[in-house]
Amino acid sequence: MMDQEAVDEAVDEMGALLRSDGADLTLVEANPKTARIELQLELGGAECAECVLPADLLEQMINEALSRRVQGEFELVLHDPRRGETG
Amino acid sequence: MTSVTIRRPTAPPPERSVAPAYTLDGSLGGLRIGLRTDGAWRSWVLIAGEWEKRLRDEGADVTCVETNAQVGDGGRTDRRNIDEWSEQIDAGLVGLGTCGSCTSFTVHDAVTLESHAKPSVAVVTEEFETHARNMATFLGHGDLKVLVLPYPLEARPDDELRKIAAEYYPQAMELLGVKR
Amino acid sequence: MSATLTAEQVEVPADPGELYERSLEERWGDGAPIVPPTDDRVLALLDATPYAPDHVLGALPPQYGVATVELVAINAAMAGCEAAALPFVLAALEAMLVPEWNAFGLTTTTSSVFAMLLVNGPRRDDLGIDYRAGCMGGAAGRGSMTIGRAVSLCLRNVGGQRAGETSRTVFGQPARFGMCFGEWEERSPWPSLAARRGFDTSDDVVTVHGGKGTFPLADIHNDDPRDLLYLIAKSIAFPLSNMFLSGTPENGEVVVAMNPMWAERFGSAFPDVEDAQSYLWEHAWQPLELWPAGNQDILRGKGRVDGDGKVRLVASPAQIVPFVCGGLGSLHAVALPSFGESQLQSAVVQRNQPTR
Repeated sequence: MMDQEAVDEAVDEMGALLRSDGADLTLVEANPKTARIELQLELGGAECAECVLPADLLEQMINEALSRRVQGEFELVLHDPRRGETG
Repeated sequence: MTSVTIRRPTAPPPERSVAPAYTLDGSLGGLRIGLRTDGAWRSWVLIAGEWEKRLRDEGADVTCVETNAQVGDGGRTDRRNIDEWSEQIDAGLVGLGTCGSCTSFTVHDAVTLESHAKPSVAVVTEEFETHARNMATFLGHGDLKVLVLPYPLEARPDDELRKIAAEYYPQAMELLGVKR
Repeated sequence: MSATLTAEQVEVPADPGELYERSLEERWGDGAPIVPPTDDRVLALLDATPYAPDHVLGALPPQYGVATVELVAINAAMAGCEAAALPFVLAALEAMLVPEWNAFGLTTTTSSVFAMLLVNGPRRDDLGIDYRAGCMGGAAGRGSMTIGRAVSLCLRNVGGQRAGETSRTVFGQPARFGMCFGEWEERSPWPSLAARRGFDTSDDVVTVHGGKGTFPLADIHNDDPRDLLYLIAKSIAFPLSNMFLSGTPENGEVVVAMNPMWAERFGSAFPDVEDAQSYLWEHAWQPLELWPAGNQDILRGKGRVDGDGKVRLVASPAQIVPFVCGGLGSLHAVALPSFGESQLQSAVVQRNQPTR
């Protein structure tokens, strides 16, 4: 079952990486009943959207960070404003 | 510790009564004989049709009933029809048991007839004879009369089925207790 | 618990390997090692049910052995059930003893059909009843592995169902060891199966399906919900389905297990589950010409061919039953084809105060 601490650690790890480019990653919800982990990419502090990791690569890296820590399957829902999503 | 005490997991064998099995002990003339077919088996429909002709030729009045379902509205209707049919006839031939569940229901319906004190013969194919006799025993009618036809039966051509009908008709009558 | 056990006491080897050998000689088990049903274990299980040990659930076909709660608990202990799982086993047997489930036919048929336990309710996780990845085999949750097995052992030891002897099953199937899995209710776009069948969502409910096996379906190319449902419909209407053998198409249900990703798409296209069922029913048919001439005659004779030459799998949409479960890998559904002459039956799990 989904461990909240494990999710938090993964979000912190990726958040630290994004903050170096002026962006950030916040946890919207980690729901153990639906196995959904919903995250929001914040671009407010970034100089430009393209300065941050490309969307596909970012999602892959977040998935890997979560997979290393979270036991069992999960569905990552990443709200990325660059994909026309407002979250 | 070399041993441990457990509780036996099997049910004790139920007490089995053996209901009486009825026979006609007379000729067919004027009697109402029933034939129960099952919509699943064309082979039995053909054989039953041949036997219907012979029964009528020997002076019997024949009432046919077809079952199609085991559960649901259809199943309830079928079981009710069998019950009513059992009231209306003097003896019956019930088939066909040539698969697992249809043998169970063939025996079930034959037992219904016997429960009305009417002679019945359950018609099954060879592969399902043991199963039929088991089911009859489990239903408390271990002496149920069972007629065993060759197996496989269903896919045989019509002329072969007619030969089988002719060959096994005397045995069916003997099991019913028809005296000639 | 102060219950009195009445089943015969038997001394058996304490060594697990020797016990296994003994169980094979006595034919108590299902071919796999058993847990010794000691009084401690049986009494602990009985503590979890409000039923008295001598309460009779019914007579189990084919040999009509009387299933008391005590006997069920003994077999549940053998299967490795924890105490809280016994009420689920009892609910399953209660459902199977309803005449419309047709235990009489299903325990003796040549078909592979066997009881498949579909579970809804709040205690799925607590009991280890799998409903996510590997729910039909591989996830290894204790509830999934033992509740179904307990039911199977009861059919064997109490009902006397034995393949090749009292059961005429030609092949059997893996579910005959026991099959129990849950619905991923939280990922379903629709009300749960139990809710659709009129039960309260706060209840644990076991629905028993007479299923012939697990029929895997896959599509890696198409994401369109209507296309996928169309293909599922055509797949479940395979020509050798029991539903085409039945004398009447009104009986029996086909359960369609849908993975959560597909279910989400289906739910977007069909927010009401009845509409999804109708769409499936609309396409679950084959043209009469698919069958050889002899089979065509039989289908015509049974009145199974409509005016357009279609042979429909089932008489009504309600007979195609969606059930959301499985992992997040998408791509797959599993149909549980019906025996035909059996109807889904459900029972609420009756339990004492939680044991943990």
